[in-house]
Amino acid sequence: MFDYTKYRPEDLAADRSFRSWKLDGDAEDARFWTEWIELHPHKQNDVAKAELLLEAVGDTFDQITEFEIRDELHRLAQRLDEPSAETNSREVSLWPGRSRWIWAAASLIGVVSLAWWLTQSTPAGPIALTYAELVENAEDQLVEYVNTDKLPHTLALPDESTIVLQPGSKVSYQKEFAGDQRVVYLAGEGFFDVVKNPAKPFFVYANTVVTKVLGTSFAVKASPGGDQVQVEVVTGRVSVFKNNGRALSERTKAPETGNEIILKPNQKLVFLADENQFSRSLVAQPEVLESTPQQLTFTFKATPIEDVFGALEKAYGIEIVYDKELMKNCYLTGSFADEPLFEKLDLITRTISANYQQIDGQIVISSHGC
Amino acid sequence: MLKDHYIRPDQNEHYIALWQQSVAGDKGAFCELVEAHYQVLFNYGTNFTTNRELIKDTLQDLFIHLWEKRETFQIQHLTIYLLRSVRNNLYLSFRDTKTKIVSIDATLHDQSDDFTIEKALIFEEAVSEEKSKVIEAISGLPKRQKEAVFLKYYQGLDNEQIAELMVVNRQSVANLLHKAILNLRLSFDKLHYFITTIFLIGL
Repeated sequence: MFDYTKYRPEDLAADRSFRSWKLDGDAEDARFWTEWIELHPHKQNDVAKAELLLEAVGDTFDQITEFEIRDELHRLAQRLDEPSAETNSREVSLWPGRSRWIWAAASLIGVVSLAWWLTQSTPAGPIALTYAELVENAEDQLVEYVNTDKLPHTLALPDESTIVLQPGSKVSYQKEFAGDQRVVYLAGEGFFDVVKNPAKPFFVYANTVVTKVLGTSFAVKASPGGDQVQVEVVTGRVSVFKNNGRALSERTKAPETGNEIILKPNQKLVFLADENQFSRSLVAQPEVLESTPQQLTFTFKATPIEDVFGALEKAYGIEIVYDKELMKNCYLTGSFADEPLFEKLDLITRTISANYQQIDGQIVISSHGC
Repeated sequence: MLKDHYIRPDQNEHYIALWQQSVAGDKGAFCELVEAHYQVLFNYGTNFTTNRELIKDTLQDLFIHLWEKRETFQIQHLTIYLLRSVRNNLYLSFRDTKTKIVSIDATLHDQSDDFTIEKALIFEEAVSEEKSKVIEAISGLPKRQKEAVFLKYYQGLDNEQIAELMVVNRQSVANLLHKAILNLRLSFDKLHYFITTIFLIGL
């Protein structure tokens, strides 16, 4: 350990552990320094000076606002997406959503498409697989069930998962779910309630779209021609990826990173084969999550908007994107009960003169502050 | 506040990993890198010019160039690499445009520094009198001392790294910093601090 008693304020301000305490809030360093100051009370003044130096340095050199930075990042994103001479074949139309500013940027141009990972995995254009082709190519022995009734039929699978199969729809699946995964092929519309079994992931093949789950409930709707597939999540999470037509054993391995879309409750994904594109949105009537304590009334009394959005995010399991800094002076008073989510959002945003948009399964708030 | 965008020296491994993903074509990784560094790089640029648009354009071009030629770069320490590129590119653009010639050895601070102080004072009413004195002192430092202070205390680099960036030897860096601290000391030695504030740990 260094002999910090010989350190001058400027040495402390440059010391890695001191900086990590002051700038990073590192818990271990905080413990060390608090103790150290107690042992060396005469150094308190030097510590205060080092702290002052760091603060003054930060204030002196901070020359750009968050807003300007976001503008510049947005400008860069656009320039990177322009085709250029060096553009390679995997060039993409939108950056994958790693962080919020990209979505903020996307909201500015008002164009969101998830074509990125599709174009990446299938440069050759759309491959529309149909139920018949999938079943024919399956390596395992399958049993098929067709709902010829006029009413939905609930079907129990070997693992006690259930499918509510709509009239005219059909499914095929391995007889005993013997392998290390549970695979179901679907034509038409089914609501799946899947028993949790992390060791045996559950896959639903619907035309070109593969939905992978560990244990959850969700609905899949596949049009017979293979041109449209829709996935809606009720509980849990599912990951959806595109079936690029490789052999079953190969394609059901963990998809390459970035080639899947994670859907959360109340989110819906639609795949259009013609456009070879996915679009993610919220379901028409987002429901309060079952796991939330039954706090169905939201009462706010001069509540900071951050907390209001936080409560909605938690209750509906959705993400609300907004500029915290800009909206820090927005407060809300009012109470809500069982209005649909979008009605709540409408009331809130009107109260604080903001707007909201639904982009890629998230709510993006635009506001000029309060 | 420095705290918000402080880049820890030990994050290099993470940035190098992101860079390798970028080289492989991952735009998301690349934009994460850019996002993490933008503020620091812009602020570093203000050490060399008061022309904010020039700094912004220089950064845009730098990132575009990095992305397009990503397969050709070998980078050991990412943050330092970017800092050096910003510095070099800004100097190059001064040479190219000849609109504003700034000598590397300029020791006089330009007018804009006063503007900075004023801004700092107007926009930060809450700033303590002590702090504004130190801010004033840093802003008034000769250019190269100021750059050294930026790299040492804002960026947390060691003298060797600073020497490499500023293209001088280590002893010169030590001298620059020593002079800078002597200048600053005049302001912060007058400091009388209440003991209690020390325990308001900036977590």
